Amino acid sequence: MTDTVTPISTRVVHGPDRPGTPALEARSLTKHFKVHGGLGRGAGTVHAVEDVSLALPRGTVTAVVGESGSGKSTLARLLTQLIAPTGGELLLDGEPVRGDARSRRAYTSRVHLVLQDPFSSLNAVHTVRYHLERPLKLHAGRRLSREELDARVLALLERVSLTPAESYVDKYPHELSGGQRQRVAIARGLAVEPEVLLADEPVSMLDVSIRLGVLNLLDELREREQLAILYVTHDIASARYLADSIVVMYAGQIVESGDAVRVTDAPAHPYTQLLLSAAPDPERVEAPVLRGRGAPPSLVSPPSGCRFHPRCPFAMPVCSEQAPPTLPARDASSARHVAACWLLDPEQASDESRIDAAAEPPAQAAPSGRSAGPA
Amino acid sequence: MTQSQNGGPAVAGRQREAVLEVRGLDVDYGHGPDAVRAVSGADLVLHRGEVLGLAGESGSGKSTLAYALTRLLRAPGVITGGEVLFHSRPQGVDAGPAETVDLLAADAATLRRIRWSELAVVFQSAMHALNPVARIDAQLTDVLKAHRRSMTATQRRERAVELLRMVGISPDRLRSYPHELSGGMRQRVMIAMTLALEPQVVIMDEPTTALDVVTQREILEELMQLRERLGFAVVFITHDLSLLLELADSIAVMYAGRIVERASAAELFRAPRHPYSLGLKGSFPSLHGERVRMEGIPGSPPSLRSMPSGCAFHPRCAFATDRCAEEQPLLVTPAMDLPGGQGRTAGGPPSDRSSACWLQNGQEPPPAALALPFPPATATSATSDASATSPAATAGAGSPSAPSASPADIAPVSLPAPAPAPAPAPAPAPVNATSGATTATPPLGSSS
Repeated sequence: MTDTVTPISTRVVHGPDRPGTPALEARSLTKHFKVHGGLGRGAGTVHAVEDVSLALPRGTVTAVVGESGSGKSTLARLLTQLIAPTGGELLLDGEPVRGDARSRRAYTSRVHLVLQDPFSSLNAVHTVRYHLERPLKLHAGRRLSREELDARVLALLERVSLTPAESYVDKYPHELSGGQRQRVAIARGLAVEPEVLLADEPVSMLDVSIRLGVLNLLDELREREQLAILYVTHDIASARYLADSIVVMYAGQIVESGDAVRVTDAPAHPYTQLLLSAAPDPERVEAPVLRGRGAPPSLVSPPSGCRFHPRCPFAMPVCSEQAPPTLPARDASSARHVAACWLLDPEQASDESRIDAAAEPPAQAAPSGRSAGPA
Repeated sequence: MTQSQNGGPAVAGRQREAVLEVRGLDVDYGHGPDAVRAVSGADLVLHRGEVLGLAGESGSGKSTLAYALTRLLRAPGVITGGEVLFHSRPQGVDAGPAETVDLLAADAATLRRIRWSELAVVFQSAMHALNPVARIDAQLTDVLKAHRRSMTATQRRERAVELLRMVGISPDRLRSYPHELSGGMRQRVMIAMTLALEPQVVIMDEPTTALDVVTQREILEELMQLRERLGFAVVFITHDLSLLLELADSIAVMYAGRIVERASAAELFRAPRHPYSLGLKGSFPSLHGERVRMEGIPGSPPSLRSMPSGCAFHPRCAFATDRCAEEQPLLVTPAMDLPGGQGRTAGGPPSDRSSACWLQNGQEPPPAALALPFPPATATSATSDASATSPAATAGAGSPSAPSASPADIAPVSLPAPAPAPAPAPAPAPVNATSGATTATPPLGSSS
């Protein structure tokens, strides 16, 4: 499957730029699903995730943004090793991850997944205590005493701000609100002392008024426990709020990545611009103009060249012929703001006015990095 | 209650004519001692051609309200009080006379006549609302067969093609089954079906919640264009306040079964008067400016079974006083927004907004964040958040713009469209500003 990997983009690793070895790194991760066509149609391949290289350093939040079908959830599942990649490799603390059962078990205690729906990810017939004790018992590696278990369970609840912990520990999921349930789910994820937390749409099922509470909790976990967090979402505004870096996916590929504020203030890829123009924004003065209508392509037979070119308002001949390389965004303050678009190639996009007309006015040059984060 | 009678036809001509009035609507789930009140004393006015947003979290009663006013509420839901007046003004060839019907008292035959042809609903899940084993054309022509008896099969088919074109679907999809369409297309088919009989009111219950943002935006754009062309009014129910602020003319915010604030979209965005509206508005991270930590609203919404005493929001409210825990505040115009009040910028349009909060009864000045003047005194405050701006410059304290206006005279102006305002207050959705004019003469879609 390595033939689908474009040689140029393999060198670009997306995600926040931090010194040292990232907690989790994905190199050219690719996932193809075999599908059976209908009668007489034969089998096909869904190119769900294509050549994704992503680094998740400690103490950072990386947001993966995209529409449904963009491959963002497949990426999260690949990173948990719930599904095996077709190509590419995972590095945990710089060490390649092996696929045998023992290593997988060790892996699950260091990389943990928080699911979207706290109403179905908790077992209705068990108490909060049961949910939190299970991973403690399974991953401790030795027998824990009752007192030790109790103390750890209470400490976990306090870490996710469910206080006083004693009043929550014997409750059943139905006695908790959606936000509290999601906190229990996060606490369960923390029970194994992971280094990496993968959160797949952790707030989309929650009521609006309590979403920020959960996002702020993730922020605190990054800060306090130096977790590497992957935040998968379709809501680019919440990604901007929480994340250090935003990675934008379209049709299984990363099309743009960079500092969260930079990507949302000065999007370089036409698809990111489309996403931003479609997002609800009460401060918008005029009705937005959508540039690039239509729907994402079929991933069984993705378009040639750039997968966005059939929808792209700026498509050039080269876009349908050759996949674009990942290039630094124009006037990017750091080399980490990159986009896979031919418009950024000076040789191809001779008519510069086109991208300039498309780019939103680069708002105030917000300072990049942690200082701007919701601290 | 007093507010709901303002928007009558006499006030500001045809554009502000009410088409649907809800007065004191109460809805319970269950009977006797087990009953819980899902909607209490809801008052709403929907004007012709306007988009009225109903915002609230799950369990706030917004969907129940919509189902109750269309009489689609199923047991154990019971409507226990109030009235829903539908001022019908049918258009088209086979139109009946203009009339006012109390939907809650109407018999089955009247309801059958009004539903769909004059008052139609788009349900949340197009996936479930379409029949999976019937083709699109059968579902589109079915409603015509039932309500337009005089149409021939060919005419019905032509109308179905026209309806699909109207929502941007090519007619060769007529023979498709729902599962062959994408989510966005299914929702478009739902909208086409809803508009098949050219209703005057369309109630949309979270119509785009399950869709991707780009699809959502496309469908909303189409919907707004259709509304301008066909002139129907929309009740738009969603939990996404940031979307409503952009889309709606006026917004009613619901919490725990009550409407806690009612205002134009611009007023609600620039100068909320209820702590819950303020908190809800602050729960949506912005796409612009400096990133600041936001807190949302502490706690979680109450269960209908254990409703807090007094104001249902008081346990989560940062400004709550003893009175809030004891007495339920009424939905009235905030003291500062009465003519001459300090909440109105001099020269600004009068307001019919209201808020159910003890802080707004004029006895003590409300907290700064809930006392911003509207329209904003300076044009520069476009992106500043509410808590950062000082309400101090309440310039027009002594010079009301319309001295003669008693509360009953105030036209419910939703947007400062005629612009007597010195500050160019940015309207959140310019589409709305023009809609009033176009809706005055709704062209009938059947002619194209």
